[in-house]
Amino acid sequence: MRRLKAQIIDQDGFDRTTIRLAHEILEKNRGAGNIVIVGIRTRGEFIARRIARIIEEVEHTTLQIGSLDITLYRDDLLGKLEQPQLKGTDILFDISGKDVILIDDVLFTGRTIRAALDELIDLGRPRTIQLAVLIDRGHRQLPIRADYVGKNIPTAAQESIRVHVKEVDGEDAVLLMHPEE
Amino acid sequence: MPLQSRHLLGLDGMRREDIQLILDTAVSFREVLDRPIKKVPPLTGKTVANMFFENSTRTRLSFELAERRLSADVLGFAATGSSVSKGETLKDTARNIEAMKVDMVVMRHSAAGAPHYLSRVIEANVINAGDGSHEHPTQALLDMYTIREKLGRLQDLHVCILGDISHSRVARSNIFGLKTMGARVTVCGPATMIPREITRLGVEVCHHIDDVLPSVDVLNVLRIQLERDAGRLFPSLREYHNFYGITRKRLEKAGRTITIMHPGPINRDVEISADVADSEHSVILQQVLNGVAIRMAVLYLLSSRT
Amino acid sequence: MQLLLKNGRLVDPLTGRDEALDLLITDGRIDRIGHSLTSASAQVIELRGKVIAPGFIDMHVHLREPGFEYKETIASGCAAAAAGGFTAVCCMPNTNPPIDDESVIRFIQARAKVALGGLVDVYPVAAVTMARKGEHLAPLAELATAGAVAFSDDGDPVADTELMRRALEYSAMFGKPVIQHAQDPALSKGGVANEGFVATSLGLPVIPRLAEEIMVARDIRLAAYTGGLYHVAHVSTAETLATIRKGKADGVHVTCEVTPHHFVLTDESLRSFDTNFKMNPPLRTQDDVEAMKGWNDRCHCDRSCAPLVR
Repeated sequence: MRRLKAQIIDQDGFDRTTIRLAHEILEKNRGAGNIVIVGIRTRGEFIARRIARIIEEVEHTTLQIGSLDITLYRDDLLGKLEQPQLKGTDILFDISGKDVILIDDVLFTGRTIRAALDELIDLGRPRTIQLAVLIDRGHRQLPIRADYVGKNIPTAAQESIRVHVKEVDGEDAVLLMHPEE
Repeated sequence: MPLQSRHLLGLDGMRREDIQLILDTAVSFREVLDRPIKKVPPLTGKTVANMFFENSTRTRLSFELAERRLSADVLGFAATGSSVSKGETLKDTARNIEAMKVDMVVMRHSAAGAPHYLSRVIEANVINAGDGSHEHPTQALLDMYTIREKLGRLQDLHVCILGDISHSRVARSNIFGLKTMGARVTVCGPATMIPREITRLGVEVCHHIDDVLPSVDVLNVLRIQLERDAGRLFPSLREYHNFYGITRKRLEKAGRTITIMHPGPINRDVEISADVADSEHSVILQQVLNGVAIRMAVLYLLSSRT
Repeated sequence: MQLLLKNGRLVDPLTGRDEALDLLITDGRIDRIGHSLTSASAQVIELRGKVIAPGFIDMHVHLREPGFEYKETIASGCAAAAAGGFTAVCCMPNTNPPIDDESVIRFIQARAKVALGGLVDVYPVAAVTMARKGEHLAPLAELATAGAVAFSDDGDPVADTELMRRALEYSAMFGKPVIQHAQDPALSKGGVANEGFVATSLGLPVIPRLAEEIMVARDIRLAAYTGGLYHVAHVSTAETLATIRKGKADGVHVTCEVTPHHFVLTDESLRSFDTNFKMNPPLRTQDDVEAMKGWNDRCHCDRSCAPLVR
């Protein structure tokens, strides 16, 4: 069991952060014209939908949104005792030539993002792939960085970050947890 | 929740949740097959041997494709020209293959129970790709997947399996799987092709196809073995076609939309007429496509069960 | 040289004896039977809790020699028999060459005499037909004279009705029975398992009970008509037993035997796909097992060794 150490982001903070990320994405891409949004399952998918909705409201447009299940691209699959259940990749549009905004909740070792990049490239040839994360907690094991960061949170490697979203957890919040006891 | 067994030998006795897991997992792989690059990496570094002691083209190709699309290394083994004709026992053949550090074995054999035996003498995961007239589990799984894709469920559907039930591994695996998933199953064919006491498997028996069609949701038409059966199990192909052949006229008389399936290869205008095989209610080609996804799901799920 | 067996349970079906007794054996012969026997010079063996019985006879074994010495030899078969308490065996003729010539009988007799010093008596069963092909009668008179105790094409039936009639007529002249491996070849072709729910579930090719029952019914009619001596090898179904029982009641000279596996095991064993349970005739159902337990002329092992099958 992990115990709660601190709540880092509450409901208002969550909303402010996603709004800011949406605006940064728009600013850097000079509008939403060539953007498609891809969230990494499970929680990245819901954050992606929030950000996409904000962009759609601001720009009066409709975005193409997909979700990515990176399970099959994990580098630790063969060694695992418990095989993770497949949730399925659901990208019903062509990403070739697009600016793909890849969205996840927490950036940690970078291995999830490596898997996501490999999978995206198997799906087509985007013009760019840009990474947006709600939390960057450091401890990278691969040369990967995010283009848009909601909040940088220095952590100890044994601590963990939990992101809660309303759709799954009933609340929007980011929690810092003590190391496993 | 992993599969209960580390082998896929048959659907007889397989838990409902295991069948459900395979069908659900196959949905993810079905999506992979629509991608421009139809290949994913989860079996990288794994070696799969396809041991086909009996001729088969499409099942072997389907497995091979599934293995390659999961990035496995694939070893092919065909009975002709191999050590089998030199008198080696199955156990020795299998152990030799295993000595080459194979992780999984896909096996087709003319003797019922051959893969069950194999699973007891080697360490690799064993997948039954058809053993005699016993089971062909991946075929039944892909049939169930296709039914679920087309009609949204299996529970309480009425599925009729038509043809030589006695000699059909496809029929047996379908019966076991469909009954577990809550479907109603009728087997239909001439009395010479219905094995004794089959009703104890929970199926209904019918000898006149026109009697059962009006209540059927799915009709799975089995291939008639032209070479083997004519003259012994039924008098002639003409008579079989007239009394059991699935034609548009026969289906219209039933007055019901029936999904048509066939495990292939089809004998056009023998057990099924060409217009029915090519009709909008036929899912024969979807079965072939879904077969790759089902086999990917089975390989993937078993690969973690070492 | 004396041997004293103390406190063994002596079972002798012939005299109906079944009690704890001592046996004094002098120079290889039973000298005295009684309670609390003593002898100053005898070697004493304590046998409390063990059974002493006359040597068993297995009337249906396969010694495989000549021709299949890689499976079994007369010497190894005799050793196995002795180890199991059998002092006499009848060996079946499906050797190579088959026992369709008196020279083969002489060969077997000579080998048996030197195996274990002749401890186990070997009684050859000769073929009914030449090369066991079911086409022409073997020289039954010569074979009987040389020492054949019965005739059988075991492994295969004498399927030809006319030939079976002639075999029964001819062998009756010497008072020797024809032992039939009763199985209609057309009905059982390619089969491995009892036709029924288990074979249906497992998709195994079948040997229906009919294949045996039809041939036994036919043969009993032939035996009644010809006055021949008819013996059914390894009965596997309840209906076969009923037909034999009726034949006996009608005064036909018909006997039969049952193997231990057929009155202990059923086709349910096949679900393991362990080929040790695959045999000919196939294991049947619980109803058949119950019928066997209730009635039995003779019991034999049908011991036959075969190398691993593919």
